[in-house]
Amino acid sequence: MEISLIALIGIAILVTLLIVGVPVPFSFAGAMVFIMGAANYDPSMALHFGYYKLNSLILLAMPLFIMAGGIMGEGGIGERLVGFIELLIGRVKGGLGVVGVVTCAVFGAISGSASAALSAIGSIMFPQMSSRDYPIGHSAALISCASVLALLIPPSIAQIIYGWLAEQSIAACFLATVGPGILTVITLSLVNWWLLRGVPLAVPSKMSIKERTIEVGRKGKNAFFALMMPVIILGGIYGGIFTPTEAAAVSVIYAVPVALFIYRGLNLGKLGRVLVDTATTSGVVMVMFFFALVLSQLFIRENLPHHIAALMLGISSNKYVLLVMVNIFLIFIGMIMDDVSGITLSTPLLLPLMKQIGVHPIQFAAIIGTNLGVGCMTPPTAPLLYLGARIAKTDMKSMLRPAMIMIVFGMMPGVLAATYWPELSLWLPRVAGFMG
Amino acid sequence: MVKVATGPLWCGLDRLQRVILIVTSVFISVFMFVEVVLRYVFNKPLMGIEEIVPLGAFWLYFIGASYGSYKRTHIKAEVVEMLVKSPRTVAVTKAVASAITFGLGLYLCKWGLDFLVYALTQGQLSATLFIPMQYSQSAVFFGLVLMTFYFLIEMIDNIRAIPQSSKA
Repeated sequence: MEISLIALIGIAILVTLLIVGVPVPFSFAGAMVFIMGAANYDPSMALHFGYYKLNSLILLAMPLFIMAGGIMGEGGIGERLVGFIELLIGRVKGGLGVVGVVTCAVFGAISGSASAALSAIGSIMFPQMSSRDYPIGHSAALISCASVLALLIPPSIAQIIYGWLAEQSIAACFLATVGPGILTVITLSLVNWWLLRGVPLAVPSKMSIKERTIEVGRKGKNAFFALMMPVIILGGIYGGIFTPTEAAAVSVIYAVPVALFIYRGLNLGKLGRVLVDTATTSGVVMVMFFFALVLSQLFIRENLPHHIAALMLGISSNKYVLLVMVNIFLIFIGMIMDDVSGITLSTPLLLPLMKQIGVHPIQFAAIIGTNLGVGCMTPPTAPLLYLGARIAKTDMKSMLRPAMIMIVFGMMPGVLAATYWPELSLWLPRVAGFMG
Repeated sequence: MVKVATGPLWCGLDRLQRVILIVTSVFISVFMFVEVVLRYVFNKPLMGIEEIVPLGAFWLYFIGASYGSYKRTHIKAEVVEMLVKSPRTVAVTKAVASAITFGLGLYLCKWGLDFLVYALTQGQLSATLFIPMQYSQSAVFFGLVLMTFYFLIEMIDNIRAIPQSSKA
């Protein structure tokens, strides 16, 4: 069997297993078992390779950030953030939607997981938005789209994986997605306002400056400990005090007393349940990553990155045409698998081509992050849209139209800017001194 | 649900996994935090932290994944369920998917057993603290066995659900 044919059949098996509904890690395992058998690899290589790769302190940042996000989310941080941000920007027509978008971005600076942001913010925002006559399909689509900001605003679990795989500074990768993230906050807010322009919405009554100042002070005090978390995490990392993994551990230790004694959203029993839930999420993600790593290693051994580069360069050698193809490829990957798996498989496949056509690996961090974010929102799989529908207690039908408009006009500008405007992603890492 | 899924083995495994997940979560976060405190407050970095923490991390990863199988929270694409309206076709597809998953799980258990035997016979030690590596290596095998066990139960449940789906 031709070597590239083995890889192609492996990909076909992977896609088939995913479509049939085999769990993602076992879909990877199915493709892995086939390639190893067909190409006569030593079966013992798989688990040895996966074990030694996973034995990394850098990767430990992932479960720790998931844990910190879970503790803060369950501990009542969401209500405080929403209350404070609403007071600042939520008192205009459509403002509550913008509050949801901005709160997802701020929550992203705490957890780094889109589903955690959607669960924590969605469960608070949906009832509030309904009480102000927001169409439920609109609310669910908006917060689901905004939850992707957790992948773009540092710390991001997806960028930890990318930085580790691409052998780039994780702190620089975190910064690369900040520009596209802020752009997405702006475009999603504008699309929200535009979609709601003809909808009669309840707007909260105006406050005097004195009342407003008192409220800002009161709610600011409430939100203080929540807002300190990104300061500790990002200040620690960029101040050179902590590694990302240490920052994640410090954020866990910080989150526990805040959730238990200050916000009182948790007691010891609930904390135990949160630890079990977050450890389960981490286990599911890490074992998926384990098999994705082995499979991507097999793809490399089968010379697939070279084949993909040759195939794309055979169609066109124009950098911008190639970037369009990369966008389509990444969005397709995002449509059939989650962000962690998508990054693990796509990075080794596409990075050599990106370097060849002069795309900086740090810019590629932003390209891959924004594209996979859109992919995770795009049907048929769209895991975040389905989660949003479940939390909002609505159906996909009511969400689909606003979601499609938000994806095209609210999220695609971030994808295009990250892809075709390198300075948007490179400026911040350069200013911070991460790029020579 | 299958009879075993309500028995003492089932409940005992549930409790054991929850304990492991809580203990390993506390272990890795506290150790990493202590390392920061020792380095900055006491100016004495903890040697070999990269050898101690993976002991808990691997058990967290693999028991977390097995608990995910128990809770049936592994990420799936489930495209067929979205596109097909016939309850019977959906039920049959689910049964086929869980049978494939169980089969792959069995296959991986064999690889996991080989990995465990290798770990036990080689007796590798970590470089600085000489911690036996099999403490963390064995988590791979036990995690795979538990996952496969839960996939077996899920497969039986899904096969039993097929006749009911025809009545729906």
